[in-house]
Amino acid sequence: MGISRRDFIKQSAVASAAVAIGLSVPAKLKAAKKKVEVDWRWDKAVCRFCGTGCGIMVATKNDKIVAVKGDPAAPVNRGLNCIKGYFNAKIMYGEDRLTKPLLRLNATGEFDKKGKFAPVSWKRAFDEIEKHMKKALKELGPTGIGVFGSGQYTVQEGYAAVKLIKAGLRSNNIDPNARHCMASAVVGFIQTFGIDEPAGCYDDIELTDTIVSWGANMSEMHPILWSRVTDRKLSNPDKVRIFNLSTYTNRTSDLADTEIIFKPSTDVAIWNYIANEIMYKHPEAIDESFVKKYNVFATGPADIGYGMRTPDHPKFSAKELETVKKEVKKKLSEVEGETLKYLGYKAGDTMEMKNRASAMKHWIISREEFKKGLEPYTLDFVAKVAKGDPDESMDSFKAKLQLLADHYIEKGRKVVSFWTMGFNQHQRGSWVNEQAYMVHFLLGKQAKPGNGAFSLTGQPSACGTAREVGTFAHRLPADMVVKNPKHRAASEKIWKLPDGTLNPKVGSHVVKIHRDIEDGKIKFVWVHVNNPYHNTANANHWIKAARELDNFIVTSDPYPGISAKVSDLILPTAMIYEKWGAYGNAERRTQHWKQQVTPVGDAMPDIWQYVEIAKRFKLRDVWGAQKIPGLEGGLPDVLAAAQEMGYSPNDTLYDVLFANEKAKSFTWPDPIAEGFQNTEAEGDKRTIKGSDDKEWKGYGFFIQKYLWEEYREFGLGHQHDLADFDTYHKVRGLKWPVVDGKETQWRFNSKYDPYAKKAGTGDFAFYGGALKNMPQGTLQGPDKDKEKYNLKNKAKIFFRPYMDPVEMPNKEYPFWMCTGRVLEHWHSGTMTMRVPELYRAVPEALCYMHPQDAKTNGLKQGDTIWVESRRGRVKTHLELRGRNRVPRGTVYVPWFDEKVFINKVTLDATCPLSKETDFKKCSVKVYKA
Amino acid sequence: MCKKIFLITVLFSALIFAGCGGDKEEPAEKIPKSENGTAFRNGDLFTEDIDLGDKAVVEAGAPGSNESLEKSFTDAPPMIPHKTDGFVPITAKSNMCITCHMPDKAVAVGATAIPATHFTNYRPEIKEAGGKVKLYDDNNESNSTVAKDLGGKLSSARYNCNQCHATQTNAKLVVKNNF
Repeated sequence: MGISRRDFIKQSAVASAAVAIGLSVPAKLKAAKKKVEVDWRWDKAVCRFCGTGCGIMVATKNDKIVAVKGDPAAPVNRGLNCIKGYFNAKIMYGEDRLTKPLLRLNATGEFDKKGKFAPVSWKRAFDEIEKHMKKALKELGPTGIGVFGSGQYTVQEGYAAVKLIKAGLRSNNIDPNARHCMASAVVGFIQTFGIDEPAGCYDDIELTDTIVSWGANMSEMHPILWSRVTDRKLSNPDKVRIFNLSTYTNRTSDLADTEIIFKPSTDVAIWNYIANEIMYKHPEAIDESFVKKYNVFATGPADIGYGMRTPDHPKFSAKELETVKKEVKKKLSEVEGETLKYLGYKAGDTMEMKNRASAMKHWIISREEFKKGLEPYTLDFVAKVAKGDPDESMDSFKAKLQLLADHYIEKGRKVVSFWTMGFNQHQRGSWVNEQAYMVHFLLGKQAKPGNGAFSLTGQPSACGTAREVGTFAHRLPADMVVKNPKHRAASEKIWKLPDGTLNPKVGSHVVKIHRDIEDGKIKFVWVHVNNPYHNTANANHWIKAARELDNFIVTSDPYPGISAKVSDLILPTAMIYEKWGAYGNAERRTQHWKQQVTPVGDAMPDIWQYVEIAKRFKLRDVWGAQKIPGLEGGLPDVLAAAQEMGYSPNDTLYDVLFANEKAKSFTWPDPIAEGFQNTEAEGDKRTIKGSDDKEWKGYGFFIQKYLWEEYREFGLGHQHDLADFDTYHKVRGLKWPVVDGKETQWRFNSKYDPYAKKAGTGDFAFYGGALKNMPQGTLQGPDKDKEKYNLKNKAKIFFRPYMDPVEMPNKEYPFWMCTGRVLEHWHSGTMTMRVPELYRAVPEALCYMHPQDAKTNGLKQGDTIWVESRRGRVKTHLELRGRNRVPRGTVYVPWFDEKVFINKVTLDATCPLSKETDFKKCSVKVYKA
Repeated sequence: MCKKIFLITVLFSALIFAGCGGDKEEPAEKIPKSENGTAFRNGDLFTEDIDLGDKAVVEAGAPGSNESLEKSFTDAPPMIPHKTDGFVPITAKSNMCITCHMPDKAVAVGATAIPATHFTNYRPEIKEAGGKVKLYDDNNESNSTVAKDLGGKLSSARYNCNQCHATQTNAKLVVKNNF
């Protein structure tokens, strides 16, 4: 009897599920499974999407992916995926996958900025990249080029990129899309702990009694973590409590015991209310011995602006200036009159933003000063400032705030606070991150199993690549920074560079790269694993700058999304399972996978693209003296020193950075890779023509393993220890630091973290080394006469004041507008919109509005409307009854949809410390199209 | 009654889908070739005055009146073939999905039964030893699969059905998938 495809799938699903859980399966089903899966190869891999970092099993047949399932052995997700996770299987097979390099050409076949995309060879593509890169370098120096990198780079791709751009080309203009997502969290970590990334791990979920989600719709954005939260909640519903703090009701509210709807930005005030409650009403709740031994108090300036350009910039419209003028000075509101009273201000005063360029500055204060700063944040005051739903009574809101504080304070109650974009994409994002640690530290509920403030990551390797490798404009691997001469020297040693090669001047962050392009300061840009023309706020400016000014934009992408179409050259790029790689998730877990299939078309991996362009640069092109704006004397000529090290000026960056003796010692084939291919190492069955027009036959060595092993030298013995390459191919990831082959579950806790134990300071040691020698002063400022305070092995408890967002609703623009993601789509949708199940589930971005607001504005469900800000407008359909239920006065529009290009509406104000854009609040009007 | 309709739809769908691949039954719309537009936008990137068409809606009827949707590969979560109006949100106190899809009830009402994986807990218990929380003895243990049969009780890690299962709108496919 024949068996239909449908029966086949059904039976094999049952059978494989049953086998996975060790149940006995009817013989008939087993046979069916065998028949279906007989020539399938299952291998472990990692999900392509969010920062949760779920393990998946990938099945391949005939060099194509045929199925994906949750990996039951993966500690993160234990066999479960979310809807996106399962459809990893289909993301590489969208029909319009890019298969050839595409260059804008005129009728005679020459590059023309106004030309039409036409297929060209890889050689022609690299010829053009070389030409335009060299032109920009010649005219403007190393700051004339830029790379939009990624928190979705594999670790090795990010490492190759940093090495090429920072060591080879001596530019620090490389910055990842993680700037839009994690930068505030990073500043919070560095200023508080002196080292990046969370203390805790996901096991905190099973160990805690209280989960507080702050502006993070975990149910949609970290669905598998939410499934763990749900599991915990339902296992002990009376004891376990969930709070959801948000500016609108969402799916996370659906499972919460208490939902707190607050006004945008007032999370800062709510944290201070909790701290006020502790300091003034429940001093007995303070973990005195913890705080005394492991904490100091600190604060910084408030007059720091909003991360925008100043109003004298010529490219602003009159409408934009209404908001931008506040960048340099603003009139303080009634609320700010209270919250900034400690600085001598009152309502109606003008605050000059004198610390725009020194927003990171901070100093140590006394506990009494800290307490004084918190004085205004009483329940009555904060409830008035923060209540976000006009239809909720003040009494109800106050009762909820009190309940929240009570749960934090309760002795013996374990609490985990989670957050992601609500805090990070915030004009005071670094501050609000620090405030989470403030409360957890005061209560001694930090860095302990089941207790801690836990920053969740948005992207699959925002931690593993963007942060740990350091693909930011100011960073080097393992938490080192370009500004620090010791860090540069350490990096130069590992990279075998002459002294002084690395550029000490911090480069341009993502938003500034766009601004620099608009200002003609950057003329060559390369986009990798990123969609910066879709994902950056105030997009009209950047699209115009890219298309209409003299510059050359290259986008490496598997699909023709917005950034690709804004570019001059598009490079067809291999996707996740078409290459060897590793990601690092939000609990410090590093996970590797093997290349599963040959890339589609002529697509090639990002590593290959970086390494091939390195062949086009000789040392004498880049290691002579270089001018750097703002750096006196510029970069030195290091060619003579290079010759002393045995390099020739005619060596290429390929020879020096990527194909050196050490690299070649990682031979291919390698036993760990048995049965798997490696396009970079050995070429593949396609026999495509490479960057020299000759058949691509591979580097001949295991380049991904080389990059990994060299990269991990940075962290070994420096609190960032990673295991060797082969180990990761045998385990379901390990949480760093990996010391003596063992992962670390709770950092800074001597029971679990060997580095904390080694510090010899008792139960804890906050051993991060950055920003540990600080001035002392009062709430008003540092005292120059006082000696600097050394807080080795201690962490800071910051006081940060509430301030209004720079753009708030008024008569003309009466609504708050918030943007974000949806469960079914990943970021700008280039992958997930091409999966029919996901596309049909959520085919368009909708504008969520309160039914009463719709009625007042003469709108109804499904209407096509305009959403308009001072910067731009987009069309969208109106949704009055969806999964997001907004309070009156707020609208929510997701950003995944190319049709509803909401970043033309959003404001490019950033946290002045982290330079991360606030995508969560601007003001708009809404009307019928 | 429900059961009858379900059986009929199964028969129909078996006829319709016999030998068909995932999405091949529906031709994708032509990809706009506008130089500065994208697959999902009509018109270039400089204008927002584009035609959005009508809002996509879920056309499927109430449970029991629809054919189930074909899964495109083993272990893919089935998509929801019926309207969910009134069934969501799923809250700690109310999950309308399980009222029909628990295996015992599913048979009676002709709904797709929740599979065995959902009645299994794959997460190992967290242990304590020597005053320390301890999850695994070594890396090998952290890589092994444990499976505890929950005896017919739905794993609460799988309580949020709409985390994996979604309704499907009538939106026309723009880009085909060659999976």
